[in-house]
Amino acid sequence: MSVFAMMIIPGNFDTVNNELVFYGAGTITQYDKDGYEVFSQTIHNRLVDTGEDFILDAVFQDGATDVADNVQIGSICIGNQGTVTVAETETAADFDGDETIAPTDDNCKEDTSVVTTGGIATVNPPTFTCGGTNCVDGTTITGFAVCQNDATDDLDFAGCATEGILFAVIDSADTTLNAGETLSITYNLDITSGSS
Amino acid sequence: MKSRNQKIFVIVAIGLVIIGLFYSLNSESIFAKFLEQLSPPDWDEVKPRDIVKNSIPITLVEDIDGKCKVHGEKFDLIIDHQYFVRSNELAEKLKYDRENKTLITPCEELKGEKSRLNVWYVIPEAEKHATKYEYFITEWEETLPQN
Repeated sequence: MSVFAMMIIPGNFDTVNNELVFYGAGTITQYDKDGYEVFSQTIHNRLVDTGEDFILDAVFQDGATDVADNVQIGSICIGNQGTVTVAETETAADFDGDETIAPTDDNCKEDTSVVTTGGIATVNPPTFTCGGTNCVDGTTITGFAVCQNDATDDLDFAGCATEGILFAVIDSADTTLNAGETLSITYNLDITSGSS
Repeated sequence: MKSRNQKIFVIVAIGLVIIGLFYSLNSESIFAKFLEQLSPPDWDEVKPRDIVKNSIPITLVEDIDGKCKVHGEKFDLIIDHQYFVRSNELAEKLKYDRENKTLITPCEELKGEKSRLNVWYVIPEAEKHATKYEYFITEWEETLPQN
C-alpha cells in the first residue's frame, strides 16, 4: 500500500504553470594564440535588481527621463574575482570592488549595435585580449558583468560602475588568458514566452 | 480460506501497483520523481537556463585495444566549475589524468584525429533532472575568432 501511495501522491504542489518566459545566458569562447578555439561554455545569468529596475524604467512611463540610446545596456566587463557573487542584490560597485583588473586595465568592452530580434537581445562586443589591453597576461577570468555603455565614446573602459548600473552577472568557468590568447563573450537575454 | 484470502490480497496488491505505475509515470508523483533520477536527462524537459553547456577539442594520443587516450587541455575548466556537482563521476568515467590532461574514451566515439567533447549538465536548483549530466562527442569544425 505504501508503494501505491508513493505512486499517486503528487511530488509538486505548485499548480501554477511554471512556463519560463525570461532568462539570460552568456557564452564564453577562449581562443589560443593562433586563433583556434580551445574552450566554450554557455551558462545562465543572474539578472540583478538594478537590471530589473532598468528594464521597467526604460519600458514604462514612470515620470523619469528615458534612457538615451548610447547609455543603454551593451557592455560586458570581465572580472577576476576569487568568487563571483551572483546574488540578486549585487551592484556594479560590488562587482568592481571584488575584481582587480580595473582601473589598471580597461576590462569593459562595448557593443554599440546590440541585435534585438525575435524577443532576444544579443550583446556581442569585440574580443577581449590581455597583454595590457583588457587585462594583464596570465589573468584568470572568473566571470563577467553586463553593464551600461559609455556615454562619452565607444572605446573600452574600466569598471562597470563607471558608466552606471549592473544589469546581470555570470559566474563562468575560470579561464586563464596567456599572451596572445583571446576571449569572446556573448550575452543573450530571451524574453519570449514559452508558447511563442 | 486463509490461503484464498492471501491470494486475493496479492492479486489486488499487484493490480494496484500496476495501476499506480501507469498513473505515476504520467504524473508528477513522488514515485515519478524517484524514477526520474534513475533515467538519463531528457533535455527537452529542462529549462534552457538550467543547462550549462561546455565543449573542448580533444586530440587522439594513442589507441589501446579499442580504448583511445585523448588529450583534453581544458577539461579541467569543465569539471572544476562549482555548478557541476557530479563532475567527479564524469572524471572517473573518462579516467581523467589531471597531470597529463588525458582522457580515455571508446575509439568508436571519436570523429577523427580531433573531435569535440561536449559536456552538458543541469544545475542543482533545476526543477527537473537536477545535477544530471551527459557527454557526447561530435565532429570538430575549426573556427577562428571574429575579431
